Amino acid sequence: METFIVRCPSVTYAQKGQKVLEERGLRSRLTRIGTHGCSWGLEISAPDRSETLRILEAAGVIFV
Amino acid sequence: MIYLDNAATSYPKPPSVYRELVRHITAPMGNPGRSGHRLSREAAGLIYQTREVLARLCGVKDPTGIVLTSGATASLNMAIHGICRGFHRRGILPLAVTDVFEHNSVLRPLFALEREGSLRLKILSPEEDGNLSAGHLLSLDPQMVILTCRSNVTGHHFPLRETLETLRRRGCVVIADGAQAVGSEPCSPEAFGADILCAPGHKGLMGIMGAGFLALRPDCPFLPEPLFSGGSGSASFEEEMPPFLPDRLEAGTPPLAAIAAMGMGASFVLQKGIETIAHGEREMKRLLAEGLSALPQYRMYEPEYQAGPLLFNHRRLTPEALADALEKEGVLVRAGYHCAPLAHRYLGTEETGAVRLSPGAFTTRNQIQITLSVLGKL
Repeated sequence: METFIVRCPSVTYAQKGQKVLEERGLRSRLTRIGTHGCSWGLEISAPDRSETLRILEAAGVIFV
Repeated sequence: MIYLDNAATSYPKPPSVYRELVRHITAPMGNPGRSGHRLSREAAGLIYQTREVLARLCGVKDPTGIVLTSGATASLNMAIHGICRGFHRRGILPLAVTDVFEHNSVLRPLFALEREGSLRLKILSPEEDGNLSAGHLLSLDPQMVILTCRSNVTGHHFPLRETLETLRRRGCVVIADGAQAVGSEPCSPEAFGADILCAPGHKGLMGIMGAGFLALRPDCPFLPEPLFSGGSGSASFEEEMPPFLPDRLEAGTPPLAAIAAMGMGASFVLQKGIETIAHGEREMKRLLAEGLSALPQYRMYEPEYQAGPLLFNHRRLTPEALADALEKEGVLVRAGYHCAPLAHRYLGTEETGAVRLSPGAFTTRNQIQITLSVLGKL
């Protein structure tokens, strides 16, 4: 299990990321949503980082 | 009281809207998108939910294409000024085309831009069939087209989707004023042939005054340039507004209570069914028009438009006198020019104005019958 932070440009994209994970039954992977310095972020704990990023990116979640 | 002024603002609102407003007044609320604490996150979640429900209502796939504003006038100004500036940035002085049935929230921004030399403006009148000439519109080859989805005076509308899509393929940006249509009939940028759909929260969506939105189609050739700049809770070290939606067009703290009310009202519309609401409002207008046609002291204007308000005049009383007489009997309507001067000029009511009856989602047959009974005695 790998824990990592996906940084989003604003809260809207963090919310969108959360929604995407919920819709795919992956809500349990999200361990925190909040500010990370000058951006917003999703703290995710998942077995496969690249797979999670692919899912989010395909749904239109923007990363910074 | 019989309220027939829903084109100005809807009344009553669904109970869920009132409950949501009370919650916002009494419960602690954070500033969405700024801080990372619980209250701020909850506020941001509520705003995102509102974007989702508005996106669903307007057939927009991605909720980030919903930009929240303070109302339809703000949305239209942001779209008209923002797209005009976008053309300037590309070295183009745009030709904007609109029509006589537009509200002043479209006309005045266009007149202001024309006066300062920021665009060229052409205002079209309907042909005999009530529609604008598709051939004329295409031959003008405009860069911007701004049309109402439904006139706030008579319900007049222009089914021009194919023509507008042709213009869009040429790089024209189409802006639709959905102030009277969103929440009252199926309405989406794609169905209209528009890039941008502008709407208020307090009319068909049954929220309160202070919130509205614009819905952007993802293939809009470019985003409107921001009309306002300020904090967005994002990209703070950038001197310009962020390049992505919705942040690019959302400067400053949003009116959370009004946005929540708009979202709750939009949910109500989806639950009740937009077709059901549209059918009900058309039926109320039909009853009004049928009843008035049997009263010789009245003259109606464009009653053939099935949706939207019914415009009429008493052959002897002024519109204001008639509206006052109706109010004495408990019926609230709007007399005057309805912020649509060119529509009244086109209809021949420029000298006097007229009276507008606008039923809403909660108007009943009984209320219509009482109104007609009162009108029959005047």
